Amino acid sequence: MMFFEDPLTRTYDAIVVGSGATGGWAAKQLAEAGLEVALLEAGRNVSPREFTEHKPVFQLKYRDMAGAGEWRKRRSVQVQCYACTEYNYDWFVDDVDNPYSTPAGKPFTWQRMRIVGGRTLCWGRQSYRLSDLDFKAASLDGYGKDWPISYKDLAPYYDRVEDYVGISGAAENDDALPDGHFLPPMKMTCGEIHFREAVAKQFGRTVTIGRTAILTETHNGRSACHYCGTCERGCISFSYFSSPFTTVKDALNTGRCVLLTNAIAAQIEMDPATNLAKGVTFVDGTTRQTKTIRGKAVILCAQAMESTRILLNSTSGSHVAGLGNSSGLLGRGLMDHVTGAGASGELPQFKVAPDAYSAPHRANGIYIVRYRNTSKATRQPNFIRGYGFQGGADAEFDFEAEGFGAAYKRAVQAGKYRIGMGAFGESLARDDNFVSIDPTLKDAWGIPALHISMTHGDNEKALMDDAAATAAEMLEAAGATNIKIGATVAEPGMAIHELGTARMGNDPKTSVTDSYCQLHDVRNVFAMDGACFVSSGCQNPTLTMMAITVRACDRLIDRLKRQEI
Amino acid sequence: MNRRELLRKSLLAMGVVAVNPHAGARIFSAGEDASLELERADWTPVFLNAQQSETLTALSDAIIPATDTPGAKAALVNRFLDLVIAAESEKVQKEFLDSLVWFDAAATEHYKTTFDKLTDEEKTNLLNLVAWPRFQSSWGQPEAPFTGYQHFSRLKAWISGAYYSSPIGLKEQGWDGWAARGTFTGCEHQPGEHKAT
Repeated sequence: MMFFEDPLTRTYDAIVVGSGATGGWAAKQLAEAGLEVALLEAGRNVSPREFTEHKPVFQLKYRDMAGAGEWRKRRSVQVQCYACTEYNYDWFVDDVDNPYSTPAGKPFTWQRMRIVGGRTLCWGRQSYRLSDLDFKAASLDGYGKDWPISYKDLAPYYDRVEDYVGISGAAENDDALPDGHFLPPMKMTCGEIHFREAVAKQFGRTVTIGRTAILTETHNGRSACHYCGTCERGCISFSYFSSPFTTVKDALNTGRCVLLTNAIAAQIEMDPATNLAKGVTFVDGTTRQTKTIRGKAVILCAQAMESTRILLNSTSGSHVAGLGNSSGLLGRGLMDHVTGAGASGELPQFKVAPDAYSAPHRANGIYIVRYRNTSKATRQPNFIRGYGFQGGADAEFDFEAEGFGAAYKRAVQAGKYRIGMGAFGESLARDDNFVSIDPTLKDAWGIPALHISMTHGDNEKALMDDAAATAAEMLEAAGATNIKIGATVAEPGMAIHELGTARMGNDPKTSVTDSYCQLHDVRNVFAMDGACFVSSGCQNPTLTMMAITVRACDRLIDRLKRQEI
Repeated sequence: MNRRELLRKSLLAMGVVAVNPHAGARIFSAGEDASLELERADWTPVFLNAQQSETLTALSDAIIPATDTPGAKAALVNRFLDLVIAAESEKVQKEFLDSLVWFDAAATEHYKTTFDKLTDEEKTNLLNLVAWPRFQSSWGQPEAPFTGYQHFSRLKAWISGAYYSSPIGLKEQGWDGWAARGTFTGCEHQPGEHKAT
């Protein structure tokens, strides 16, 4: 005898695939608007009992050292993520169960989490708005396509997201990085203030405290940060934004949202008579049974490449090349910010005694706002677009001190005052950077896997070369010593900012979705995550993804109410 | 909320749990502490042989000795590294053992005995030969690090990592038994004051 309603016997107003940054917002917004929502998550649920941010490292068997630990053998890709550790590795996908292929000589590091909340559990939390330098970049330099929206279209939605999430930061009145609705900023260190002043004076560039989704005061029922400094292991006070304890929780609290975990979406089911989606087929990760859930609208928020994978795997009737692919552009235009360049040095004029292990630690740094190709005066002959830097300056224990014995222990304790920064550069949208379905490779649940083909090009290389040079010149201006420069181009995927593959636009011939993330080809299917990005900017993209989702959901609710869908 | 809605809401929640069990979560038990295993009185190495273990213990205590705070020996650095290296790749294991063997060979060459049996002065003298950056070059060849320095640097990195991640090493960094906490105050100086010089 069943004491509960089987979630698969009903037809929902909306099926949301993915419970991370954008899926959480979609579920919250639609359920709070009175719609019946099914939220599908490929991974399991998460509990605050799993959080380990206060667990000292010696309590781990291998103290997260080097290559030790059986778990690493099944996560050869995921261990390349700074946040995937002995503490939390089971939040990340098993690479053996979740394969993908790449062409020879074109590696791509796909760092993924399958769990309620997805990567919001471990994300870097840096939250920046795009500007019309980004939305209208093609008009400014002639490369690629403009977005079908401008900054003023998205600004009110940035406001709404920031007001709910809680972004701490400082207003700077810099056109390249619009200000937002901020909670009080975190404090800078002495070295960072000195650096900010030197860079402003010598170059007129903006150095600001990182704008981060960490609370600096109580906000929407969540407590202010207690500065333990290890957010990627969870937060018992929920002080950084993660969807399970905010948006998803709000959605479930309406009583109109059902969360289905271990539900691995495989494809969208179509009604050929109406050319409308009628549901989503998924594999139950626990039983391995294939099941179908029915809905009036399907909203993909599974992560840019995962959402496109579902669309590409949804072949039927007239959609032989995948759903939403009449333009032939589905899968094209894959982007991931280029990284690998930066510089570091020492600021010996400042105190070198490091803060004690148990003293407050700030899980945030400084941000240097893009200053290349922002106006005619800053136009560059060798590259288009630009880059920003994330960095920081503080005293650290000097574990790499030379020597041995008591002198070595004293040198470690004495520490060094270090400063460093790493660049995030724009990744140009190129149609020869793409994902497709591998014809032979399947995941552990029998779902065809992705083939990912991406390289960074000459423009990205030039951006990184310039970033390394200007990072060094800024450190020199601040009086840094022992400056070391890095000018490599990291392999695609290492920024963990995958974007594009179902770009938005007004013309169905040159885009996959409209400006509200609705597929041109199927009016009740939406791609509301990073897949719809037209260009990448150089700013961390999650805030923009969330704002786009809120805007698209507003429109969807309105159209559902008017029974246009 | 009426009774029907209340029942539906609670049953839906049950349904979610029933359809999708919360399985596989990695939850550490309260008080679970892997470092306690290293303190067992009946501890024996799982990877190193007896001589290698003695050499590692002596070398770690020479690199990070007891001063006014405990050193590597008290921090059981050798025991932890035995555990870690046992789980490492064959390449890393070989490099680690090669370096240990190198120190015993160097001690034998200079003092006719293994490193663990040297006096404190002899250990210091030997380490002084290898502990500082040195490079060797020959005409027309690129400069290469001195072999002894390479072995020293490799083992020192392991020893330092093990020491400063131990309970003793964390206390050395100001761990008071609790996680980091408080409010990050940043620079509290007046303009210009924060410069030490």
